Amino acid sequence: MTIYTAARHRAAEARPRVSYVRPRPPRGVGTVGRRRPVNVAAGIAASFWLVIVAVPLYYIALTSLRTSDSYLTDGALRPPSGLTLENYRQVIDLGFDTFILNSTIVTAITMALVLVMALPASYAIVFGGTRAVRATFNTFLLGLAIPAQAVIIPIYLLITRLHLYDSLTAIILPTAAFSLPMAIVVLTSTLRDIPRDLFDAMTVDGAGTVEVFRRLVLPLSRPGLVSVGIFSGLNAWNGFIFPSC
Amino acid sequence: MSDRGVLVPRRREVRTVVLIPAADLRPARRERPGFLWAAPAAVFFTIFGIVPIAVVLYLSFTTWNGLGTPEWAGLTNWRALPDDADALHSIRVTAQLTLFCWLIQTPLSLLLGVWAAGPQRNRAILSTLFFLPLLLSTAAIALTWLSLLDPNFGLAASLGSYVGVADGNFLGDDSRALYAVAAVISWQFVPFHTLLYQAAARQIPASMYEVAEIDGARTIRQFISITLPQLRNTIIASSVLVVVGSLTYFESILLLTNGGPGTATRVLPLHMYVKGFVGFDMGYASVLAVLLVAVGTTLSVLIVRSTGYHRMNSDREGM
Repeated sequence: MTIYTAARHRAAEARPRVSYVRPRPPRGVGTVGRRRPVNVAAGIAASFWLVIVAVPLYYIALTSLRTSDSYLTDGALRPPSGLTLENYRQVIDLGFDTFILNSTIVTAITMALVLVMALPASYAIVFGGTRAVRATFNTFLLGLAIPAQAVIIPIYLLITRLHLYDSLTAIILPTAAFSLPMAIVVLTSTLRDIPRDLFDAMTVDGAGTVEVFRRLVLPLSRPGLVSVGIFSGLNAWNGFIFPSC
Repeated sequence: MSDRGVLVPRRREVRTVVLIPAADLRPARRERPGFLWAAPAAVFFTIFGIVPIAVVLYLSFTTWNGLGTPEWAGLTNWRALPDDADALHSIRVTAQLTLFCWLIQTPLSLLLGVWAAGPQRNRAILSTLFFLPLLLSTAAIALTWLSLLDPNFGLAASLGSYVGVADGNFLGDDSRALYAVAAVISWQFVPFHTLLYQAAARQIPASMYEVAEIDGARTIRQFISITLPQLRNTIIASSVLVVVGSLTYFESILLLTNGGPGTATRVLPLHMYVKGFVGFDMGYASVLAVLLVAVGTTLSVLIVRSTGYHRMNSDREGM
């Protein structure tokens, strides 16, 4: 955010006025850069999907406001005769604020852990030279295939040995660990699309690995980071045993 | 590289120098990130992912009810596997579910993701709505669909006749339950894969489409010739997640059908759960767990190898 000063204003006045915005393309068939035609088929398909997504969501919202009687007598989607906030009051009475706080802490720390570990690992997997680094990728692929309920007992034993039982850490660590494989699969596929030439050019100019990471990988991996952050966060938020994708 | 006048030597000295300003003569040390970068993730994951699997492997050679101490039993549990008709059946069910899930989720999320990355109006609002199912927990989704698909009170009763199911009984019918389960699971996970495809589709350079436009390629042609090849890596990554994910689906099936009717939707993880936590035979359940991990890993490595994905080179053009 720059502060607009008189000096800046004069400098701006002195600059030639060039618009960098593309001129509005002429309307008409065959003009390059014209607005792409409205894709009717895609629009219809998207609307159809919207219905499929929206109906259950509407249903959840509606049911949360229903009385038990109304659930049994009114139709599934018809607005019920009497709306009530009773269900919400019951949930809040159960100590909902504690649950929310716990979930928030677990989610935030898990997200941070996953991102801080997965991005450097993906960077090494994609741009690293050694076979050992590539082999780690296969290890994480193995991790994708581990069903949570299969390892719940060993994890429980591990947690008790580490004297972490009955703490939030006991949830955070396995949750983060099991979000890692998914995060690494997604991030490696993002990082691979960074043009090799950029990486080569930087290294030839003598940039160290840290510098490449900071100035190339970090800025260019933003979309992937967002996806991974959102997903590992949601996984942690909704986690039941601990999430497995 | 050679036009910069710096040849990258195999040994430590620069052998060829073309006349260039001295300022450009930096030592060309080609650094690549080493294992140290992957170490935190690898170590962390080893402790919580690989070590427990090793423990499960050990448990598969023991007799254990989950409470006392495991007793060494050799290959007893492994010998029991071929005689377990339910296990063989559940492997078949799991394979079917995986196939359905891939067939539903991949095309849908690919198209939705590309569409959501496109330029049309109202896209932001619609995309947000599309991603809403991501916010719900598995349990919430399963319970919602369970009550929507209820033949007595649910939506299924009134809409069933349109899809040829007059009584609206989707989950209680041998032949339909698995399709219903696959549909619910897909409803839950399509948004996630859509998110992946959308992020990837946004990265495709617009210039490619402009060039195609000049060459007179229409929308469908552009999709086939540009979008699909450019999304190749994402399709592979997403497919691995779908396939391996569908091997481990458990919660939603437990809540929707509990493996029923009969054993029509009893997938391998559910069979393991029944054997281990319901039948207190942890040793045999561990055999199934090892099997599950082995199958999942084999499949994901196969997908990755057969597509050349592991070579880690980008196939994005025009940048």
